[in-house]
Amino acid sequence: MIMKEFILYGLGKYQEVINQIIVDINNFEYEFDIRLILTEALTNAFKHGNRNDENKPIYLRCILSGNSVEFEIKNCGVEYEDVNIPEPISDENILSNSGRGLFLIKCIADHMEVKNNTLIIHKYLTSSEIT
Amino acid sequence: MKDISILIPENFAVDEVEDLREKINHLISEGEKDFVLDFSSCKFIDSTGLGVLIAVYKKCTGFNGSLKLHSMNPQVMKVFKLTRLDKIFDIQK
Repeated sequence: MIMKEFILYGLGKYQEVINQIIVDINNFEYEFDIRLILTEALTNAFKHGNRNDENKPIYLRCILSGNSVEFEIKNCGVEYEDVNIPEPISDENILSNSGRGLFLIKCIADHMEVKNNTLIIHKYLTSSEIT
Repeated sequence: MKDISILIPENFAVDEVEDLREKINHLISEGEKDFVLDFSSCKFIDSTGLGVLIAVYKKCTGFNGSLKLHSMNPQVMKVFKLTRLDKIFDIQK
């Protein structure tokens, strides 16, 4: 098992952190999905959780175990129970300029849950996915 | 009027999308309204990138213009399909 923890202030270094995690996971087939999950989760934590405040930390924990990976992303503000995940694919919302981040995570991850202001995402890393 | 072709960057995500919005807004202010977005170099897109494309699409169509997308790799196309935006945008091979 590999566990790594990161603290980000703003999104200035988010790509560097994601690249490091992708190297640790070492599974090319899932590189795009992992990048999308983490980009959306960190963007959401910064913009909505920390209200774009670069002085507030975002805590990211990555636990790589066997054929799965779990991410915990904790912000300093909004409790996710209060966050409504819209269904952007509905006709009503399809041309909305925003509101797709958590929806995309839900689509791509195998499991997503929220606890207070922490987003917990689980993804299996098998070799059977058809893209 | 001839379509304006614009190359989408490799990583079309949260920190790189504003350049495109500003570029197209500037071109629209100069009277252009028909755009072709070349995704041949694009390897990644996120929801922020999609949001900017939708804003650009609305603006172009608001001026009776057009927006075409082409040369999208399968992973990028997957994001359009998940959000059903493949049904909205004119996506060519």
